[in-house]
Amino acid sequence: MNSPKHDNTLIVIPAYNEATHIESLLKKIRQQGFDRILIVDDASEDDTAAIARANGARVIRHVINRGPGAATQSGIEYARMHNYARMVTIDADNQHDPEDIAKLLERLDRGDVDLVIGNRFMRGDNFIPRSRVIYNGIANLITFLFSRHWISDTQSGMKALNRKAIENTQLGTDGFEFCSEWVIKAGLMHLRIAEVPIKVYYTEESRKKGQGFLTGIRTLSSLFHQLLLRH
Amino acid sequence: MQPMETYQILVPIVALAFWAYTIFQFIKGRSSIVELLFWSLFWLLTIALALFPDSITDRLARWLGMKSNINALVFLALGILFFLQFRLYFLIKRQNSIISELVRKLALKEDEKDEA
Repeated sequence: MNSPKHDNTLIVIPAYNEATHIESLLKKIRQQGFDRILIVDDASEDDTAAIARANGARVIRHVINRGPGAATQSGIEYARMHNYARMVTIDADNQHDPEDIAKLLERLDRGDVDLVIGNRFMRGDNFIPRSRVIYNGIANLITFLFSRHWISDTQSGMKALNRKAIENTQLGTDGFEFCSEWVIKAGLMHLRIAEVPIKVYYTEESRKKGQGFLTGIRTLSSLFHQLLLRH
Repeated sequence: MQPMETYQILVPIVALAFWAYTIFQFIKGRSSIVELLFWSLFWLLTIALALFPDSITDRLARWLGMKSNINALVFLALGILFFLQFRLYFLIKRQNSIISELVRKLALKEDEKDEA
């Protein structure tokens, strides 16, 4: 069971074809004392949903694949509907360490911030592929140009939100560009942001699944559309 | 009067067919009055251009301050194409966002049903 202090905390895991990782990830999260776990299955073609259910997670399922941004927004809306006070997002491919969830929540609970981002670059012992470092740098710069807030890991999938952030976050982009959009919109909504160092483990598989040059182009075009033309 | 070129017969016939289709779409309630007016103007202009190519493009070139009527025509065509492309881009973005919203609502509704 959730320890009482985690009763109001929802762990949201957007997942697409993660059958090989989801069971071990769910076990690790449980070991940290979190039982309220939501898998947003983004129309996986493998057994992600069945495995997650068998391991006691709540599963909501997109009928067609819409991308990680859309899946994350579904998780946010679930947390809003069920009145969760805190929510943590974590990647489904085991690249994050569930031990870091407590660190994010601890920072959130100090009460002076609404959104805590797990920063992969603040730890010296993380091995991050050079392509990711370059991509992240460019994404940070683009995000800064739109938001005027410097965040050194805008593309991190590990985030913690308090109730105010859950209430106010409305992501409009479906793909990986949602990470930048999230930071920019948080700034527009006067949400206070902090970063805490987290561990990250890159495998060959997670490197293939992540973001690349094309995502960068899409990010620019989507942000332009979302933030300049729709407001 | 100069004899008509083949395109001066073909283009108006094709444009008239498209115009009729536009009117049909409006009557069936599949397009708005603004769309009907826009496309009617577009097809009428196409017919006029095919029937009086030189006089219209010469006037257009003078109006745009260009020396060649071909340049003026290409400039105008590019402008219209960019406008339509831009409109299409917004339409697709909007459709995408509606689909995501629908998928999300379905997922949450299914969950509510499971819970009940």
